[in-house]
Amino acid sequence: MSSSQGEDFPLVDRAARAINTAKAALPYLTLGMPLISRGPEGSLHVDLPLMYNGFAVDRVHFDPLHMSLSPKGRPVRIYGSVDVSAIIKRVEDLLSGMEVLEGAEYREPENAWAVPVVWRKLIVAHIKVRDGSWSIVPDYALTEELRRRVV
Amino acid sequence: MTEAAAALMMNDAAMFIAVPLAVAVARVSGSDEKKLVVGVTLAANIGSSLTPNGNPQNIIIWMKWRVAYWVFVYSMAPYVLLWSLILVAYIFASSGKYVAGEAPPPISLRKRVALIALGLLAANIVFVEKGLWIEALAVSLIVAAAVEPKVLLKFDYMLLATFALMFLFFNAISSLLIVPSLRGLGLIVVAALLSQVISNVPATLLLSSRTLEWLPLAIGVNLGGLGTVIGSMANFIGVRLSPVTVEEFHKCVIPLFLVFVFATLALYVASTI
Repeated sequence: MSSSQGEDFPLVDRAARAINTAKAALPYLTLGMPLISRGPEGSLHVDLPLMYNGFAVDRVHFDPLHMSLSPKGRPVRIYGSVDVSAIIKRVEDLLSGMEVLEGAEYREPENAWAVPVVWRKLIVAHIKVRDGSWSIVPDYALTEELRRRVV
Repeated sequence: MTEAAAALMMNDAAMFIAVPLAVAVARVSGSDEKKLVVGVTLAANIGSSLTPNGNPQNIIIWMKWRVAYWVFVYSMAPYVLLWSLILVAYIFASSGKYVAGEAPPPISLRKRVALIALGLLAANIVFVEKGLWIEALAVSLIVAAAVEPKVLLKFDYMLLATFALMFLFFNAISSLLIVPSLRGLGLIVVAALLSQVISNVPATLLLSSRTLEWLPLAIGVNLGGLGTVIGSMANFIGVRLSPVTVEEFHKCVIPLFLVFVFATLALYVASTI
């Protein structure tokens, strides 16, 4: 983000535009098939990929104990098994409770604004919006992982 | 859009973008999700039928018969047009409305990588047309290593091995089975129906050694992809990526498949008179 661009288009306005872009994308977000990861000590945790137009944009921690979402930075580890079909049934409810926060942080390496997505006061994900092109930045590594699992 | 993407970059790849988009659009617009998912799945299969690189069965036929790229496209175009018209009629008849609204924000593409991939695709087509398969592979590997070396590390080699073994298996089965040699209308019908049972890529492998005619085989196996979930890998991906069940998919697709079959046979007969 060059200073000359910043003079033409103040920083606050750029952040506002990124937030509006994230808001426009919000209705099109879906939650993909649960990703179940196992730890070396036998625990497991469940993430739900947040999808936009077939691309993963972030992963959301799922709390199988309360069948709800867990904030970023707090994966819920459990012992035993999870009912994937029950999680899938919860997805629509979880999605309808998501909102875009009125604030954004800037990530210089990606030249993108990270706009937080909240679910019941918890920041559960970020939607990254490319500065200048105002397009949604996918998580390519996660997208590849998901596509591999489908086939 | 789905048809064009499938013709360019293969039906299975197009499905990964089209189906989630269809699900999201259905949710936002209140359209019938099942019909939209079925619509984009059929569109991917129809669009992919047009080009030799659109789907695996076309690649097999293209390689085996050494059909020129544009001859393949020219020969398949009437059938692709017919199937597209049937699909458009189905979409309008079933939804009764055209859903339009504000376009969602675009995805941020890595333009450099996308352009290099497109260039590589075009180069591969030219190399393969000239029978330079090893050279095509070598150029692809060198460019991938130079531009995006991670691709080579993350490539799903097991999936490649699975396909290679599947091809070997069906080639072996094909040489063991006593299948009468087929041609024309009969070949189209057998290829379309066999695809419903063993999928259209194995059906192509099985039947390609039993006929000298590439066009009826291409028509039949691509027609076969417009049927059951088993008919085409793209159908399977469509069901896996959406909340649509196999039963719901078949309920929508099977009546339409019968229309595709009769219309295709009529066009083929008309074109051979």
